[in-house]
Amino acid sequence: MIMSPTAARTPRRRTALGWIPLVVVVLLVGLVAATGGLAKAPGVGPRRFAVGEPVVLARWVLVVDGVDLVDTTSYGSPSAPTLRVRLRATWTGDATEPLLSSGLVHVVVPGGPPPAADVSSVAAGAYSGGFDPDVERPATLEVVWPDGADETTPRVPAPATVQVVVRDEREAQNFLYADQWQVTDPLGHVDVPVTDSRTR
Amino acid sequence: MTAPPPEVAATPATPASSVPRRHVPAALRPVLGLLGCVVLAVAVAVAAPDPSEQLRRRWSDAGPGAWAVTPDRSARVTSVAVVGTVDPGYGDVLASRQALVVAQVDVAVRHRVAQLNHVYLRTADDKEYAPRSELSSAGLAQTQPGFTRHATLVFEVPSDRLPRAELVVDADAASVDGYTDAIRLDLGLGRTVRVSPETVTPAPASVTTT
Repeated sequence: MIMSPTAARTPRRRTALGWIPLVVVVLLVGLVAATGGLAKAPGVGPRRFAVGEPVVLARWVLVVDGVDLVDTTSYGSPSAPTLRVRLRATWTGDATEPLLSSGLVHVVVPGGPPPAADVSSVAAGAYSGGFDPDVERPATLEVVWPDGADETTPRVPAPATVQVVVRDEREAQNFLYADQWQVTDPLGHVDVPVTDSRTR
Repeated sequence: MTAPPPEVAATPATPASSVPRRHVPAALRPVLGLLGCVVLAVAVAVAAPDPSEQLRRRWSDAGPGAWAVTPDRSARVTSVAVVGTVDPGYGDVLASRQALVVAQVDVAVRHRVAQLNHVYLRTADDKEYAPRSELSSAGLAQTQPGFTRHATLVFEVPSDRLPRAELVVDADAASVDGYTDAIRLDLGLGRTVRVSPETVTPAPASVTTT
């Protein structure tokens, strides 16, 4: 019996064609590896920053310098116990921004009662106005601790450290407003020793 | 004898009734209409210029010491100092690691009240610096027609951005902006700007009749 040439090549051709997907996969994996796609990914989750380390955000650069526990206002009058966060902030936009974005920073007291939810911005030295483009200036944030405390609240032991949690922003595109930004999940935090400066 | 007209080959006319027409199902017409509207709206939104970047101004320019004149107001810069420290005369001294530009300006208002709430220093790379509000008592404020306000504005700016900076007395900030006049004043800052170590105390703002 004599087989036709076409019939004789068919099994070999099928065998050769069967290697093509494997070759394609190997090439693709090689391409991904060559472009760095198989490198170990950086750790996922909130990062930890050091005191004094710049935290670079989408529109701000923040540096956490310290936290004081105080019970007087900056003018010296009695106040509720307050955690006062000392920052340096640099606005990287194109025009002066009147306020530090709301929600960028909040404070967590590990193992202790929670601070109030509201974080207020107060004057930092001579600065009480806006943030100019690419000009680093001090900023001070205050949060009452424990939540609900006032001038008459019995004294509680000061926490050794607090976590200053920093969130980033992302632009929220829409057709109604320009330049809308939303605060993201926490980017990371800074463990900051607390200086107890209470007078009562 | 006249030659007979050439014969023209007649093209057989195709009856319109014989051309097949594609009919859109009636149920789909509202959907297609809505899709068309959405596509049109998206196209307009994408193609329309950003209004914040397309503000139209008719600029009036002036050099140091000269008046820039528009129909509603005139303005000039009478002096400019670049220092490291400004003492407001109360509270804390403002000491900058950058540069503090102290500009004395006069704004004469005509015809209608001016808020003068949109004045800023613009650098050569288009960054806008508002006057430091800590020194607002020396700065510009609402001014009635027929009066000239004499003010001192303090701007904190990185010193490398100061060359060719200008002071902009823009249209009053409002919810709706439009085509209008505005003023650009050359601050006279050359290519290299030296920050003086001296401390300046701005004089309180004053108003005189024009």
